[in-house]
Amino acid sequence: MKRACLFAIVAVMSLAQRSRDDYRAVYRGWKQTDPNLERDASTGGAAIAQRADRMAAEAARSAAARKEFLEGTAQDEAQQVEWLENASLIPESTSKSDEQFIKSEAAAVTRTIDTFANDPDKGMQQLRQALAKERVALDTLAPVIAQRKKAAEEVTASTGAIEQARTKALEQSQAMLEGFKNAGASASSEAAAWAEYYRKIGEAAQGTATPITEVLPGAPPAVLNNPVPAPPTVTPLPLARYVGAWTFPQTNALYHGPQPEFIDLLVHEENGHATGSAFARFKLPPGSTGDPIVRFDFSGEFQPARRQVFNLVTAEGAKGTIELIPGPAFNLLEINFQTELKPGKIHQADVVLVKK
Amino acid sequence: MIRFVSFLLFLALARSAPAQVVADPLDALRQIADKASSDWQALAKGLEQKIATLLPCDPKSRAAVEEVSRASDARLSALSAYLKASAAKAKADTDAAKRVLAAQAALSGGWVTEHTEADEERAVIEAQVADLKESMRKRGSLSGAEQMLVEIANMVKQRAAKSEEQSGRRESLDSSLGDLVVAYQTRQTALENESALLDAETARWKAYYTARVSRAITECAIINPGPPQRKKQP
Repeated sequence: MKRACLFAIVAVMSLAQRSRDDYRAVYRGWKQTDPNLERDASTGGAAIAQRADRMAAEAARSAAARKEFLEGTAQDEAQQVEWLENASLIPESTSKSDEQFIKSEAAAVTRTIDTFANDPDKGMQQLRQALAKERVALDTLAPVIAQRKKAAEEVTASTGAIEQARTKALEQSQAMLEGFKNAGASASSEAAAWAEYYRKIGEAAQGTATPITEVLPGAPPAVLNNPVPAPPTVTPLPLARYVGAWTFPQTNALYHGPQPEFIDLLVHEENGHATGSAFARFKLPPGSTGDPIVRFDFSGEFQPARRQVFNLVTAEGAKGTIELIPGPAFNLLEINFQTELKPGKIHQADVVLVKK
Repeated sequence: MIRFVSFLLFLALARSAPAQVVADPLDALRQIADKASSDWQALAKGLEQKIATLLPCDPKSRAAVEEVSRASDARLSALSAYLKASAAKAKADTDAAKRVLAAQAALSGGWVTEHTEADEERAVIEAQVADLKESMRKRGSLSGAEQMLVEIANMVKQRAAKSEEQSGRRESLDSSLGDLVVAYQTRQTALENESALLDAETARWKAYYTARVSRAITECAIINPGPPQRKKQP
């Protein structure tokens, strides 16, 4: 019966191993399904939502496979624990009755032999010989009984050692079983978290893109302590949110695309007309022979919109546009520019600047 | 004789089976051996007293010695059956403990794999977090997803830590199970040794009782030179 159980353990073990391979295959499949989802998430739209849904399904498959594997492993460990629980032994008891019997019989036979020791009667001599044979048989029994007793004591001693090792192993095995059970519970929590994550990706994909500097719904508006009536402007926000000298902060910098080393931006306004210039240097990838410097001028009319877009021309003559987006604070301005492609030149950047 | 005693043991076990459906067969063998031993002890202790009142050639005298001899054979056979069964069980236990050790090594080793996998997963998630942060610059509404991803990264980190803790217990458990295998092996060897010594002992008990019966014959022959009378078996 126990042997059958152990064959079952071995069988389950190989199943568990297959299950680990299976679940890892499903996991790899999930991760390879759409490795660029996070990178592309900013584009938003139905396509991203669909990709997030697909990833959610793959994550659920992977979680189910992992849970199945962990449950199988916990079952295997439970069988180990069960075997250790049932492997206790009943201590053996050694009997001394044989030794006592041999001793008393040998004494009795010896006494009788001694009684007839000097008897010349032929019959008595025959009896003495018979008793002597009996005595020899008893004498040869004693050491064998002592040897067997010693072996029996070794059995008893081993029972103690077994119990000690079994109790220790059982305790440790139970802790390991608890670990596998907890891992199963954690897998369920992780599965729920992944489902929520992809739901949030899909949710965020809806609607138009809102940059990080956008004031999120619910955020308290900035309030001036000494408000003065602002002069009427064409823009919905005060012109001061666009004009002035702006620079790239060296700490807590926010950017998308190439990383700037520095940027200086100047924006002027005159009768609703904007003029400006930008001078910037970007970090290039190691080994790149491109030009890290960007210079351009821009101009245009301010529009009655939060975001202002102006045409630009670089120092090399490339044309493009620059978008000025007021940040959540008065001293923050996000700029987003794109230019025509020129070999070795930076043609696009999205950076949050602070007012000088 | 041994076959006959084994058959009796089988009958005794079969008879006791309905009453003790889940009883350990080894326990039953032990009980039978203990009872046979008690029976022999009672007969052996009372033998001298019993034959003291009989004439040397009284058939009851020799029959009494032979009865003790048979009882001795029966108890040694019962003990031998018990020891052989115990040794067989000990061997099965040793083999089982070896398999448990091997199975546990595989299970415990799983924690090392779990730890490695969790570390790898965390690295992948951290790369995803970095990508998502980039995307957040254009789409701030991704911040909820980013927070959730960071939370998942923490969960996986905790998983890695727990796996590492469990894999730390691996060596200790393997060591305990190794000790258990050694202890079972020692027990098996001791029982096999005891069983072999009992076989040798049985031969010497037979020699002793042969000598004892021989003494009874001699005692009769001294008084009555004719062949000793023997009570017919019914």
